[in-house]
Amino acid sequence: MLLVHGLLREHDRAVLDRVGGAVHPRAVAAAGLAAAVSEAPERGLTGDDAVAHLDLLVALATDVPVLPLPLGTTAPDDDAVREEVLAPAADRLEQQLAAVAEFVELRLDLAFDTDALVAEIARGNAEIERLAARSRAPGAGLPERMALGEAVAELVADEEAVRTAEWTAELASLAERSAVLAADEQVRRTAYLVRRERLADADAAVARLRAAADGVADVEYVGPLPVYSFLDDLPEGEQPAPRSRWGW
Amino acid sequence: MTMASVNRAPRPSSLADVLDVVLDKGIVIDAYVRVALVGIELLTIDARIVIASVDTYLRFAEAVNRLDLQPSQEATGLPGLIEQMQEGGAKRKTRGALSGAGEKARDVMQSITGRGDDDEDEDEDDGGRGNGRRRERGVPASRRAPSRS
Repeated sequence: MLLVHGLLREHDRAVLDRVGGAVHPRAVAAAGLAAAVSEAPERGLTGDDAVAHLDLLVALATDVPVLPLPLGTTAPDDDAVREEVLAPAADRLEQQLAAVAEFVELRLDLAFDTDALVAEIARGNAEIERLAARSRAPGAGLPERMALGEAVAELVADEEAVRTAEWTAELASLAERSAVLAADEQVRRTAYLVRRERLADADAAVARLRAAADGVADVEYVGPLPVYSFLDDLPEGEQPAPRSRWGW
Repeated sequence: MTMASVNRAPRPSSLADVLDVVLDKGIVIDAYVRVALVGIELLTIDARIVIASVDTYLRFAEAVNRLDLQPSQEATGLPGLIEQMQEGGAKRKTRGALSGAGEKARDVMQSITGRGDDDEDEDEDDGGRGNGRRRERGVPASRRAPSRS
């Protein structure tokens, strides 16, 4: 049984010989495309397999365009990869590989220190003071505490959104696309589609962001990843002409 | 060493976030016959997601009440002075409140799931900075790879 990790152009297949990591990939090629495959473990997949799968795709995406497949994509043999993965959708896959060629995905996580934010927001806010007094009044219980907590949570979320927009403005301005992947009480996660040649600019922008967020939010900055978040939303003009003779 | 190597990680630091990237994400290949998706064995506590908002609201409520807020018109004279004196220690007091709320949330968790909340223990070991944030997350069922069909 094979694990199929990702797809690349056949003429880039030599990159598979250079990547390290826990996965030892090889190429299965057809129709100008190559699938990066490895032997599936006898046991079920584990977290280590997930990490190894992503490490491989990141290593590939650093050097060449790659289309990631979902973790756990399996095929019984090379023929199945050629006949069911590569050949039936060769035109579409080739177009997608061309479309992602100039881009990588960067992800930014901001985890705010809510201790500090709560204190900052609550002081001097008349509505919060009123709800706090009500939650401490004789006979008050869980509903009053929940009402207070919900009101504070809304203000915290608003404040986090304002600061996030301010801090990430530079990074957003140099990205071709951005997508909010999570915005909850735990983390604000945004993905950015960035041209490869602008990676250093993005790094510099995040370095400044880190300085601005110091003491207020933890910053996790990840990449370059395959463009997971933008496969269906690549910039106009990047799509090459279809290979079909009817594709004018 | 370049700034980039200091600044940027090649992949997320937690397994939950790695799974968030790779599960059910990527190119969709239609008409699988012999090609399939296999699941991954995960220990998740979905109840964490359910009670996350309740937990947050209660933590925030406790934190605000530990600030000892008074209505604005009352926060003058001696009470106002006391409030100012307490302000410097408010952050530490807030963290204490959040720890207490975390324990209550753990009680709720145990009543729902019949088991404890290991992540809370990890938070308590991180030097006290983690009480106001929750980085480790369960993986929603919708994010898991489907079983082999």
